Amino acid sequence: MSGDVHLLIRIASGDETALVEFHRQYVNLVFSMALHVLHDHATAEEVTQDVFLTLWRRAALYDPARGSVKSWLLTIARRRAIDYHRRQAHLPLRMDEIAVGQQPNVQLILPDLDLRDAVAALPGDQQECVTMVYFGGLTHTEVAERLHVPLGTVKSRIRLALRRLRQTITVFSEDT
Amino acid sequence: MKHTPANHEEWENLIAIAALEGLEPAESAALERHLATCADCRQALADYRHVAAQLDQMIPLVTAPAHLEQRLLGQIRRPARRSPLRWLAAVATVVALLLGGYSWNLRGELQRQTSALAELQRSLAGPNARLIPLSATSNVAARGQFTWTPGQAVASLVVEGLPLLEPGHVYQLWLVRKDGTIDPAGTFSQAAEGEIRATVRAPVGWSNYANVGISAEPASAPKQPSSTGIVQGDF
Repeated sequence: MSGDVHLLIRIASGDETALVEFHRQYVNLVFSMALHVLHDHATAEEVTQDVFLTLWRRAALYDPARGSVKSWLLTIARRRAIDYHRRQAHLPLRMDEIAVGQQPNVQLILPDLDLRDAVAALPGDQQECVTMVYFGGLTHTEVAERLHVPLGTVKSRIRLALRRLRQTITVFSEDT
Repeated sequence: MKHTPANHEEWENLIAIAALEGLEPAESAALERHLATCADCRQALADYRHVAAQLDQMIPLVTAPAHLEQRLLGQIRRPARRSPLRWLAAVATVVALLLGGYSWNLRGELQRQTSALAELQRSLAGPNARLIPLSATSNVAARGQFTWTPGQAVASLVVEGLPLLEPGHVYQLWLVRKDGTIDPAGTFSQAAEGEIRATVRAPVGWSNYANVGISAEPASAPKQPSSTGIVQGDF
């Protein structure tokens, strides 16, 4: 059993020290995701708080069969950030709010240069569609409307982008 | 969706978008049906979800403000009753009845109100009304009230402070009979602000019930609670 899972079990039983330990380990990660989606420090703090409160109440919902604790937490943080944005702004996200790209003076969570390079090498329109859906919380229909392109074009761009990234990950996995 | 995908490439389009959580609900339903019969597409979805998870890990890492820890601890230390839901503990042993005809969605009946719980109590509580306070079962600020009157078919529910729902989830109201049978009594979605108010009907008379509670459930609406209850009260 991983240390993370053991921590979650303790959290689920109401162990406050386990929550503190878990928070120290992952607060930067959760806050980073919230900020990446929202681009607003105050709201990102709200989301981060909300994610850990949810964890405090629902740690028992974690299912190890569905991925690592870290992936689970990132998924919750991303979805919660998108949810906050929709609630507060009542407006769809703008592209400049969710632009892909590395900010200066920050560190990437996963120094996986192969995948980063693969994402960077994607045609801009594919990158744009993937980002608008995944970090912007838009449906592909909304993306098509926003970009004024046919729905089929958006579908193809996303499929081609993910197919290429999948190949990269596969190659990377086989090499390591 | 305007048409059902005719070939694997079209399904792959939907699978890639599904991995990014960007499908429309009707498309998700169609894809779910297809996945039930196609192992290749199930594998493709798993692969693409793996890709999406990698995207999560590529975001720039920044340092969170140091005060968040104390803020979190302050929040979880707020006084709140922590007690397990008795009616949820019995779930594994309860045989669900087929209640399709009685499980209905409250969405259309719900009205968000800004009035306080006390105001509702004054307006609804006739001389024979029975008021059941709904208390949080964990460290959340949720509370509510369930009001029923002997001989009347319709009861009322008011609840406030429910936590944010996970995507794809709804709140489910449960009524637990004295014999342990659990009746799903309606679903509703997030109370963004203020209160949720709803009218509730039960398949049997109110005197047959022992507990009422609310839990967060997948939108597919299970016949029995699958998660920890958020608020509960005793008849």
